[in-house]
Amino acid sequence: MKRKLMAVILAAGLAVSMAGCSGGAPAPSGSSDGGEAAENVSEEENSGRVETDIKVSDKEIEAAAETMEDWEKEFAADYELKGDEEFTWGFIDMGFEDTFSTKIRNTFTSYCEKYFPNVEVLEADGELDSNIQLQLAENFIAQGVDCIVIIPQDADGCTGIVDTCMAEGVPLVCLNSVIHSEHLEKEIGFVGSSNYEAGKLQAEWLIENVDDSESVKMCYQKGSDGYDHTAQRYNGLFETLDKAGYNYELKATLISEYMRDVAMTNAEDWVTSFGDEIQVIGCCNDESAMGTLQAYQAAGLAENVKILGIDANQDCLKEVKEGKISCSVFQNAMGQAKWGAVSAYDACAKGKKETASFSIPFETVDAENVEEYLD
Amino acid sequence: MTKSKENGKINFGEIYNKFGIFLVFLLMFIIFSVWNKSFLSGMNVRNILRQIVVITIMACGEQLMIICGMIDLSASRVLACAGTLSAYAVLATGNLFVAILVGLIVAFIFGAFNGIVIVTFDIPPFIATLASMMVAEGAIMTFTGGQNYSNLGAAFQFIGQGYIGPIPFPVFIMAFILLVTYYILSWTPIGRAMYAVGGNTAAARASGINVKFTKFFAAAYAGLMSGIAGIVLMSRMNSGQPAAAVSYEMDAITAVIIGGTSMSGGTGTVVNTIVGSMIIGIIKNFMNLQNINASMQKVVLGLLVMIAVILDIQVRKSRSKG
Repeated sequence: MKRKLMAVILAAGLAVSMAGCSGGAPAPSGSSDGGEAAENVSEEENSGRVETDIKVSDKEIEAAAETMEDWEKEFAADYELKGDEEFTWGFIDMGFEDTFSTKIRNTFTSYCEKYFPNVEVLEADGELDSNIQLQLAENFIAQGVDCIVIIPQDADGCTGIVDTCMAEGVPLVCLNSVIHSEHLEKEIGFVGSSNYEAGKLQAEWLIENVDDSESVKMCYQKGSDGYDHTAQRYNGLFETLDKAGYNYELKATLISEYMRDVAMTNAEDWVTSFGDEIQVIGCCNDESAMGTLQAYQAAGLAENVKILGIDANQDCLKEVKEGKISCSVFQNAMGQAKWGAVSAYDACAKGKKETASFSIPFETVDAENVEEYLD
Repeated sequence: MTKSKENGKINFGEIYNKFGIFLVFLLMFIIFSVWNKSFLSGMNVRNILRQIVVITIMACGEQLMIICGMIDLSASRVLACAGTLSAYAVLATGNLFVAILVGLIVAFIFGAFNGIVIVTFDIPPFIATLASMMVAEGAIMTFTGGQNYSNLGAAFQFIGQGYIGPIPFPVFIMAFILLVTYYILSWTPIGRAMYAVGGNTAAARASGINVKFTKFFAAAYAGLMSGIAGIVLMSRMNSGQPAAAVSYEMDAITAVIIGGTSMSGGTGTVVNTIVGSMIIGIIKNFMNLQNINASMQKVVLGLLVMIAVILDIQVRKSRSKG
């Protein structure tokens, strides 16, 4: 009896804790900026801010199939941006805890709801593990989905997914990051931006804006080791600087793992090692840039250092606007999600096994044009 | 070192036992200070203290669990869950007190849940906390959808970033937690009961100790520590990050092990754990200052754990021979 009672209490406790921790992702009803009291910020502003961090705005979704950027116009001539045929797609995210891939996933599903209303999108969490992504792909194939869309965790680790999909004859769209496969951009569509390009844009901003008549002292917050995108962003930055003959000295490189907490610890240690000597810190993503900024702000040295990010997340863009972060590189989540959906629909509607590739350009965001990207 | 060679292995164990990790810490501190001139600067010492706060607070929870012969694998995910919800609460209400309370309550629920599952159903703590780790991770991801909550306000930021005089405020929190944990372990009946339960559960039960309550208390306390660590970390980052602090519990457990607490339970002191935590802190800091990458740092810390465990075994052998 006692055991039964305990079991009931336990189950109730779990239910209560789960209820407390669920219910979607409600927007915080207040946001305090620069230390101001949270209640000072209006409800409307807050819901906008939270929505846009992991999802592009409803307004953009509504306009997505109607208005075209210049680079989209030539794609739009050959592909349908809307359709009402019934299909089921499996969407394998890189990991639900990754902010940017979550943003692409949310945008993808929102676009499909609006413009491909009869497509059912099944979402799966790749848990930042290529092997789990492979298992999910196998499960989707067993379920008989019409197409698989994946944001691959790793360029090499995910090659098995290409082989599996090709062997089973299921169309595959590779979103955001590449997979190292001879079939990519042939049978397997790649919809995304080159990570090398992101690093290159950081370098170009630096060359244009920071005088190198004396050697520029730099540090770099590198992404997790062993991943293609990490290497590409790093190489894009430093190879471009080298090619341009930019006069710099790389004083230190540490791994931030794309995480704010790790980046902050790294930057604190650089403050100790180099004091105010460092002029530029290149970062693999905006989270690392934010961690770097916080460490330098705490040391009172934020004015001395130029911080370069990638992703153009909203909280980072606010710092770009205030001049605390020098630049970020806009990854067009809307473009990737939209053209990913178009590629998948095109293959399904035409009964093809091959999917189309679309190159989505990166864009540099700095103080001059940041307003265009802020919601 | 020469002395220990002359006297043989067992004597080295005894020396280690007597002077413990204080000697190791001191040695490392001197070597690092000589090696890198930045290491001993006031700013760097403050950095090290700030950087070890989260791990040390978690280690206090882990220590109680390990003394009782248990382990808490859910700590880092409970930290992320409670810390992120606390960040959410401060944005939603603008009230610091509510935010802290939310974080602590959520963490306590997870800790208490671990405790109840372990004592009621006799589930190994390893399994029970592994399960709640997944629950905590899934719950916070469901709640946030992977979203970070940023700009938490000056009051909340003070917890992790503030200073009182030259000393970072989180260091005071850490010191307070260490004192409380020390008091519990050294001066209260429940503290003594934990050593008894971890040392020999059957004997503890026979001597009238409430084993179930003792284990429940340790688990609930560990949960609470994860909550406090979560609030401090999110405040430090000025952002509620559901994916932060990945595998921090391993660093906390490492601190406890390096501090000489036996994984089989029944032994260990908070003073040694703080030294263990400081050893990890100065090693990581030193390697960052030397620009040694994260992968290599893991190799070094792994070897350190191995050495600590080997020394622990040597000490116990020398005791049983003596």
